[in-house]
Amino acid sequence: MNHNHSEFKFWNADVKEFELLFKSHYVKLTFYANKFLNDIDISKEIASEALTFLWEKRGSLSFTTSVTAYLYKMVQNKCLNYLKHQRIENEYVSYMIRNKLLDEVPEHETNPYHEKELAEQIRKAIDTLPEKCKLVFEMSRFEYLKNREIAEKLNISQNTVERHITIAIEKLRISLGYTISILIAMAQ
Amino acid sequence: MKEIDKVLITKYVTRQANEEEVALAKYLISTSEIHEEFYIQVYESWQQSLHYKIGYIDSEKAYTEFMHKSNTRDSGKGIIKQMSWRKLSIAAVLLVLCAVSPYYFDKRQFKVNSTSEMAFSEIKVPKGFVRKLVLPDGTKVSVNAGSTLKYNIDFGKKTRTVHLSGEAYFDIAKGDVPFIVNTDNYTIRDIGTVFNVKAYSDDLSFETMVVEGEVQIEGKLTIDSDKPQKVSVKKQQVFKLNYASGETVQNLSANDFSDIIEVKVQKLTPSQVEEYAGWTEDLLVFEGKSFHEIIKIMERRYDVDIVLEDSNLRNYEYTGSFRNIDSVEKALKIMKETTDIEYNKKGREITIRRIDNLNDEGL
Repeated sequence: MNHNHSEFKFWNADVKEFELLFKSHYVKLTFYANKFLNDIDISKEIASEALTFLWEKRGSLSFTTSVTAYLYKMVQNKCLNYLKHQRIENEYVSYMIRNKLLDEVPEHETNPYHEKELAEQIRKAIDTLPEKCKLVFEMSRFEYLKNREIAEKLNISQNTVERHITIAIEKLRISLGYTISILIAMAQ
Repeated sequence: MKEIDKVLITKYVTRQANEEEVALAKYLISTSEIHEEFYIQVYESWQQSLHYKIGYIDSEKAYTEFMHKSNTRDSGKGIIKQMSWRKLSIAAVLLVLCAVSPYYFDKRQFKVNSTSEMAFSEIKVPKGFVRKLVLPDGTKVSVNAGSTLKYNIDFGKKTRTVHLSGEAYFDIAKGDVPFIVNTDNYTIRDIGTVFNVKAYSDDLSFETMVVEGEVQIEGKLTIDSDKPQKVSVKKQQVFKLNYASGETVQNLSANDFSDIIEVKVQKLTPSQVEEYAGWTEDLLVFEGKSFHEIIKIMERRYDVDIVLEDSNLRNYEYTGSFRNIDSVEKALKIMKETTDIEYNKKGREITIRRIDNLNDEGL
């Protein structure tokens, strides 16, 4: 794969190289898109689109940054366009714009060890949640369940579900700390 | 900041808020700095929490999809082809948008079956869960673990008939149409009553307990008669029917009633009512119940398999109640305190054995 930053060289990759690039970037790009959209399905779609665009333009694209930085920037643009066209106002994006955080697009490939460590830390933080709280949080987070459905499944009230989720997030926020969130924003 | 605002903002971030709540959350975030700060922190924590579950976003699957699309496209070349692809990808996004249904149904729990003759809804509750629902006519039903409730899609129009396999507690909405519960062997009917039906196919008994009003039970009630009979069960009474135990009657078919050994209607005190209806509030009450019956209830409640190592234990009786005990081990620990048993848990399998006590009456 060509990581050459020279302006006059076109980016190119063969099928094998591109497969590696796709698989190592897809998840990260999806999470990155989700920061703007808070909608995982659309985020996946946008990550795919960006990678597809890169593949289709292979041999005819040139950029001065790394391919990773180029992909992140493309995903960011696609997300902002999507929000604009759908007339969705995301307060987190407004906050990022106000604080000029949008330009902090990652320039380099992230260190896989560092990432593993981070995932581990997050997993540990989730594991320290009280049993019921963790269950509710995971059902909400990873099974796409609505509070009402979780309440029915677990035979508890919807208020209890809401309380569990609020507690989970507050606890995660405290145990992970604010520094980690900045780290993640940068590392992506 | 008020606790209620925290909950509201969390709901907004986690996409659980309804339209009204979204509007209110947006207003709070845009007008109050404290609220905005809380929102930012919750939003970031929520995003972070995504990262820990490996495999949540499947890049292998995404790559396969990409390859598939890319192969279909590479058959033609040129700018026109690319333009049409762009349109296609917009269409794909729109499709995804449409496909993101606001409600998620677990197919194993709720499905609409349509056959050539009729379509019905089926509510299947797995072991370890209790499900509460409201039927189209306003009737409230709690469906116990390991039970299935079915009703026709035209339920409530001319008839109000449900089919139950397992246990359910009904609070029937008032109406002109009689409410009918069919089980494999019996039919329970009435209007405006509250009652509990227990008809698991792997139980050697059938029970109907009435809290309010009166129900009529139809079916074969004695060995001698071939014709179906009727019996009325009034408020605070329980109708119980026991079949002979033994290997041959494990699967009771609708035609085989030769094994009825006991039929009785019993009057209940208010505290005894709890023994039958307590499960709807996560209360298990055992009053001199045999271990054999208790383990069946526990297996369903906690989704475990319990084996009694000594068959004599089947007839041990136990009295006690469990309120909001969320694990089978907690329940067993309580039982251990007053009985000579010990248990061993391996995953979902639990073995209960008798402690051989030196002061045992056998010695």
